[in-house]
Amino acid sequence: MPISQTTITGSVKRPDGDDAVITSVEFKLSGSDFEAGEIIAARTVTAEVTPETGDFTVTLWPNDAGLKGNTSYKLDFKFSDGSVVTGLDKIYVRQSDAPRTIEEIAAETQLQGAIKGYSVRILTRAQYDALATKEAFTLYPIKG
Amino acid sequence: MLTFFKNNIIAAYITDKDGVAVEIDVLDAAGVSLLNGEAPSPPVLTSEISDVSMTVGDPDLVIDLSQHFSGATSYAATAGALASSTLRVTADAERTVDVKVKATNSAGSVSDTFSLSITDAVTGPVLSSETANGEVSIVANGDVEWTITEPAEYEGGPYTVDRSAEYSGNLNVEYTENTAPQVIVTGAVERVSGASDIAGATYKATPPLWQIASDDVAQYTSEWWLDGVTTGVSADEDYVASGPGTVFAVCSITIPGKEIRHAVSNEIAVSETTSASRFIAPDATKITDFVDASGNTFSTFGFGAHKFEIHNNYLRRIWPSASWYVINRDDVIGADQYAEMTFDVPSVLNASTDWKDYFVGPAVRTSPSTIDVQANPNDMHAYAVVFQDVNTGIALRMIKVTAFENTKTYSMRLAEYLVQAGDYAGGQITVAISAVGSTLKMFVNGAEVATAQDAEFATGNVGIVGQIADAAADYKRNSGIVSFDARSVL
Repeated sequence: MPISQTTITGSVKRPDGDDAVITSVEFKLSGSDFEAGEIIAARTVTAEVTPETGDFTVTLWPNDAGLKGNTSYKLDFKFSDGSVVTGLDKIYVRQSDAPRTIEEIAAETQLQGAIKGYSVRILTRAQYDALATKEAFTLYPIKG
Repeated sequence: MLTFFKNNIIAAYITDKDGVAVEIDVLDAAGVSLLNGEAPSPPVLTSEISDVSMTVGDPDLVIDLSQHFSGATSYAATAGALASSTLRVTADAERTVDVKVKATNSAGSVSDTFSLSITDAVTGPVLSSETANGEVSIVANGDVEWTITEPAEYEGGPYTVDRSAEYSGNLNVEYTENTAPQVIVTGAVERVSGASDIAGATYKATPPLWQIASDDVAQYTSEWWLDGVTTGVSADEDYVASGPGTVFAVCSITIPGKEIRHAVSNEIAVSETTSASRFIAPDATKITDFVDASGNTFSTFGFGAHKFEIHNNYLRRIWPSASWYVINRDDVIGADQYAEMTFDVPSVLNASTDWKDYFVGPAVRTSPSTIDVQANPNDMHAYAVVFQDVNTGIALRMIKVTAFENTKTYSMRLAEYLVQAGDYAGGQITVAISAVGSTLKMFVNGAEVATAQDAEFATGNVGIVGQIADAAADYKRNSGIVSFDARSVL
């Protein structure tokens, strides 16, 4: 059975503002979960990267599609000089038909942790207006 | 995160437990909006809170403050209980206060004040639901207005009851009929239970067709008329017309100050000198008959000695002047007879008074209709079913009544059946007797409960038998008669 997929885009820069020459960006699922009769194994997905610009694109199984729904992703960046940067973790990916930026997902994750008892869904105005029903106790920041 | 909001987020909504969304602003620590960069403004009073009037015990009143203020992030109030953006007011005690509500955000606050008035619970009377028999329970003291179902015979209504004068302990209930015919009734309401004329008392309204107060004296008048002219001859006497013409007798019952409710007359054209017997019109119709709703006729002799009350066209109360009495129905329906009466049973039966010293019941094979109820004539007899004691219940007895030597009466108990009063309290009971050959049967609500054999009286009329067992008793009591009916047993 097909499972849900969400496309995520991003770009990596060095602190000095230069594009980071990356060789891979890896998203590691924190635990296994279930969807549509399938087991989603806790494995690593590697994004497609453009080394010169640091841009990457990856299609991931969204965490909120899971039966348990409590998994998240941990990111590892590998650079051309062989170094590895870790530290971005607990990235919670939600289902979305439209591609999302990694920053947006990270903001959602952080906000959700900051507002106790509330979920956070960052949407476009069109996406928000298209919602048939709104979820209870949810903050909807509208991106412009 | 602040930069992310500034650069990417243009609006924000937040939902409640039901998924209902409201638009919100997102402010930084200085109160500046991250969505539009504007400095905050104080809350605004969008609509004043209306003054509140409540009664102690009313349900809580919840005021949604978001409907009165905009831009507030918190609220404060000098009374009531705040929860998020609602103010709950509980009517727990009598008071009148001004309630100030203050709405606040980081830029300031705005207030509104409304008056909260909580009055004590109404201490006036509360009537319980009226029962099928017109009974009500008074569950609190004070003036009451009570509307009762109007009898079908009345053209207007309804009645109202003013109990304002009752609390001194005297039963003084007045009915005032709102529309014509105006009838003022005193004492037509009978307390059937309850400790006193206050809360807990139960009253029973018996709006009669012909309303007689306990101290009223019904005056009977009758007179023969000839060709439309009064003769001055009482219809109590035999009358011999002085010549050809139309003879008729008019009999009426009047109560001073009250409207005539019952009058009968008969007339007949005579072509020659004609005589008419006492109380019997020339066409042989008894002119003092009562006619009940079913068309049955009760004969009596003289209203002056006996008082009757008619309720919904039924005989309700009998105030005889003799200890034993028999009221016969005129028609003879054969030797095998059945007679029944239905009674209202008080909600709480008083064993010392109700149906003990004064009782009445249906009778068969009674003595001829010429028997007067005023005395104990020699040939008075009847089989009857009556209530005779209520010490442990209602003793329903089938008796044989015989009078002799014009002054003496004896009754013999033929059968007895003990009715549990509680089974019928507040309702009705129908008792009946039948005589077929020498077999007598007693019935309660259609079920045979006892039988006896007696062959002494083989024929007679159907009617009503009663006795005032105790001369000192209040024999004017309402015995609760609802209906009488009789038929032949084929």
